[in-house]
Order: sequence, then C-alpha cells, then structure tokens
Amino acid sequence: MTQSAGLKSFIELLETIGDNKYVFGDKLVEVGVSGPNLEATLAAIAMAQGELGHSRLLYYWVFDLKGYEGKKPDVKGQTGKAFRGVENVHNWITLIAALYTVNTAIDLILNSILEANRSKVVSRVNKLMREQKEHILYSRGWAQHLLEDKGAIPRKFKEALREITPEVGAWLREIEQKSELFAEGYLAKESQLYSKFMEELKDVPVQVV
Amino acid sequence: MNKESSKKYEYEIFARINRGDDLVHIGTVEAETDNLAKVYAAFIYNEEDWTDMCVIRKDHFVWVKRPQGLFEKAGA
Repeated sequence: MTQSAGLKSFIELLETIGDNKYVFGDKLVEVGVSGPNLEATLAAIAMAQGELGHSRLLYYWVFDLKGYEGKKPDVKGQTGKAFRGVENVHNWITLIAALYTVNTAIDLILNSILEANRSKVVSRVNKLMREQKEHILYSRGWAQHLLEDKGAIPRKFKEALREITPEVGAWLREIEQKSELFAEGYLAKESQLYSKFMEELKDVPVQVV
Repeated sequence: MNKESSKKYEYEIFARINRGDDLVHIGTVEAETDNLAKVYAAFIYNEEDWTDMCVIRKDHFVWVKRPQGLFEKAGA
C-alpha cells in the first residue's frame, strides 16, 4: 500500500502519541505506586490502565492506516518515539510535569484531528479524549499543588517543567511545519498548536521558556 | 510533600447507577482541591458505570439535624 506524505506524517504523529502514553502507563505504576498519599496513588494506578488503553487504541488505528486486516499484531513495546522527558520520569515531580505538559499537547492535537475530520474519527477518539480530560485535571491539580508546596518542591517542580516543556513545544512546532498534514486534511488548518499550548500552560504560572 | 502545606479536606461521594435511581452515598476521599476530589472519586470508585456522581466537601454540608449529648463527642 502506497502511503502519501500526509499519511506517513499522520502515522508518525499517532505513534508518537501512542508511545508517550505507553511509557506513561509504566511510569504511572512505577512512580505512582509510591505517590504522596493514598488517593493520589490509587488514581495514578487507575490512570496507568487508561494510558495503556489509549496507546493500544492509537497503535490499532495505525495498523488500520497501514492496511492490516483481521487480527492486529501484538504490541510488545513502543516504537521509539516517546519523549526523552517522559522516558526520564523518575519521581513524583517529574511525573506530574511530564503528564501535564504532554497530555495537554496531545489534547490539542486530538482536537485538531477531530476538527479536521470529525465524522471519521469521533468514534475512535471520543472516549480517549473524555478520559484524557480527567488525566489533565489530575496533573494540573497536582502541578498547582506542588507549586504551592514548601521547601525545595516548588523550585524542583519548576525545573522539571522547564526541562520538558521545550521538548513538547518543539514537537508541536515541528508538526506545524508539516504542511502535508494540513493539506491532506489530517489536521485542521489554523490549529496554532504551539501558541495554544503555551496559553494552556498559563494555568500553572511558571515561566517555562 | 510537606505535611503542613498539604491542607486536605474530606469529601463525601454520592452516585446513582441508573437514571431515576436514588443518589446514594458510596464513600469518601481526602483531597486538597475540589478538582482533585473529582478525579480521585472518578478513579477510585470506578466499579460501576455511574450515571451521576458528585463530591461534596464535608464542611460544606448544610446540616438540618445533628446528634446531641452523649453521641456528640463520639462524632456519631
């Protein structure tokens, strides 16, 4: 099956989202299991299942786009496109910073995909987007809480945000440069992903770039 | 996290399974904010596909009647 430039870029985009969610699934268990309190821990573990489910859905979507028919291949690992900042999550502070920034960016992209082609994709991403809103609410709530904490925690959290935000921002700018995604109708024109992303981050008042 | 800066509130959770059912008390969560309480409730009490679910901060209850006398100290 011959893939157009737009389709290739779209597959790469979906795989990048899927990979990040796949790694989040692991990190939410690995780090979340020793979360700061019982509620946060239980929610993190439940969210891990959600993130893994989202990644599987996105990988299956990619298989469909690549022309697979019948039973889908097993997903045994990510495709290597997860962000360095997500793979490097090693404690609660870096987990919240990564979860908040990456899921906020992913939400903007999925909204753009939905806007461009609602009838074809709504059934695929509707549930994912609804659940993702809760993940963002959770990480934003924790982000605000960490910033209001005492001692070294606010500073360390700001550092974690400053570490991951440029990587996520660069990814959004890169997507905006891929004109084939817009020309072939995979993303809505005038999506302004990067500027919307920076606007969203104002909910957590830190100078991140 | 620093304990002195993590002021937490207790929230009561109410939900109904089907439309028309009674809203029933299903549990509690402790959270720092209303938004975190909502997320905790949704993730922790996800054993049913609830039609409605709400969280109410315990100190926001408008009490009509409270126990007096012997039971007051026990918090019953």
